[in-house]
Amino acid sequence: MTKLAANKLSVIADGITLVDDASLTLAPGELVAILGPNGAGKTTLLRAMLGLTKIARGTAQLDGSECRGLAAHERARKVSYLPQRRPLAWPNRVRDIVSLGRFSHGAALGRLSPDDAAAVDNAITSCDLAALADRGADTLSGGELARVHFARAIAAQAPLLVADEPVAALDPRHQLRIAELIRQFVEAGGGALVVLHEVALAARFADRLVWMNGGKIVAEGSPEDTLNRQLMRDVYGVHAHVERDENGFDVRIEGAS
Amino acid sequence: MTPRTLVITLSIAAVVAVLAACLLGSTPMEFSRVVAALFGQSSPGDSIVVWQIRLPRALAAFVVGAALGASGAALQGLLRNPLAEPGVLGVTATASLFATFALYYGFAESSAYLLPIYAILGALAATALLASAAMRIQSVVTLILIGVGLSSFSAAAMSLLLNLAPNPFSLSDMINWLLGSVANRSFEDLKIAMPFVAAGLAILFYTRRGLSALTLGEEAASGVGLNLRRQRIAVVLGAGLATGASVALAGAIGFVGIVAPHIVRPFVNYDPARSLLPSALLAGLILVVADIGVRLLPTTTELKLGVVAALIGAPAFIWIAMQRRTTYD
Repeated sequence: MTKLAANKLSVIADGITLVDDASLTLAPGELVAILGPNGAGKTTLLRAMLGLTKIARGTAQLDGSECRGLAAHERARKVSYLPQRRPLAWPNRVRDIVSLGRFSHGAALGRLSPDDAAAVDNAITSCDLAALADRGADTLSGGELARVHFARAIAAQAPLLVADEPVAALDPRHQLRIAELIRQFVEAGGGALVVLHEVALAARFADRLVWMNGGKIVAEGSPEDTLNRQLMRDVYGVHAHVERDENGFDVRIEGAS
Repeated sequence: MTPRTLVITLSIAAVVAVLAACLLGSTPMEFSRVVAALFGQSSPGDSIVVWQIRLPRALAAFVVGAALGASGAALQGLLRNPLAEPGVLGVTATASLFATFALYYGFAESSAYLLPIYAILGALAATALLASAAMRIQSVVTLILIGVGLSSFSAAAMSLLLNLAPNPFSLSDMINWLLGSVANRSFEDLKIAMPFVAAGLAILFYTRRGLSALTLGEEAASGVGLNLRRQRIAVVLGAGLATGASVALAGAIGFVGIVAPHIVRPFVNYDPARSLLPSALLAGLILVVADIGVRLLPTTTELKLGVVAALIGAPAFIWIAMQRRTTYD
């Protein structure tokens, strides 16, 4: 079983500690959401766990081997990564963008192997993109583009997924849609580590919440155990009304503390 | 038109253009005479015109165009911007500077291969500088400004070097290097430049898949499994070799590396990988045709090929720049 693990991991850049002594694991079958204010070190932690940034102390391992030492394509076959900024250089067709998810399998655009083509078709169908498959990316709305990027990430058919703010700048309906797609990926046996700013959405869909502040993991556990008034004040610096109902959690921000 | 038919069409067009270059000139030759000369069945006069003047010149134009077209397409893929090109980025000017330095200070005398090697070193220095700057700066506008700086500096340094050079030079030498020309090129010149151009193009084609991945942005490209560092080094090396060797052969010819990929891109679904080959073919074709124009224009002194390339290419560059939406940056 593929496992991504950070152990007492610290990242220091220009003398500033961005991530401090963080330990975190991700395994298939679970959806882990990282919460925390801007600058808490969430993105840096993800990048360090993937071996994309230098680690000052501690380890980041994928199946027991150091991520920093893994070849990019080896890592990509086990973990697919959806970064926060997703700038497309060209107005490519949707199908081609999704096909780039097969890069680590050796796929080249325009001549996909049957396996690659099947994975791409599968990703396109499960993200409801069949009708848009031949459209240029420059003709899509923000919500449609978010689905395209997500389809690209799952086309890799890697057991693990790391997504950095996959629902940022989306309307509520599209936020739900992407969250459902991530949940679907986890139900199918995948493991997802997702940075979210939408606390209620995270509490509703995630199995485990990881709360970060000032580069440290300050709390970790199920939404039931960790989502409360105290932690909302400590982590986000807000007064929040938190109530559990049959649909999940109702989180209402009342003001800055 | 699919990418495949595009490649086939451009290949046929390039062959036709090279043949046309053999037919046309100050003394037009009939088709049958050119064919006879190509197969060694003609008068010695015809044979010299075709084999020693027109054919090597046309092939030189094609090779230079192919090198610049593929380098342009690859640099555009790497830097994720349609305005990147060896000329605009100052790579050809820097290669010219290194080549003239070697030539006029006697460093290129011991072997004919030293001239392209110096030009390639210049091209590599410029591409490496740009690629390392690109790692830190996201804005491609800044990169192009660095290219403007490189070009101006190279032209000024070349002028200074030529003034101080121990070997005699004329102003027309400098114009040849800065504007580019394929006049009087022989098969011998081609033979010296070809291995470097071929090596450069081979490296670019070998790493073309990575250029597709870079469509997603550098972060996501490394996410899908691209070794960014290796990709950057490969493109710098490939574009440096091809561009440097083309400068050694013909001087600095600008803009063709922008125009060709821009025309090609919609036909290959904007995939940088699949734009390499057709861009090389189209850029080669453009320079062969432009060189025919240079030879046919009734001017007292022959126009430089680079002048014609810039007359077509510079307005295209401005047009592409004005079309760009700021959101892409």
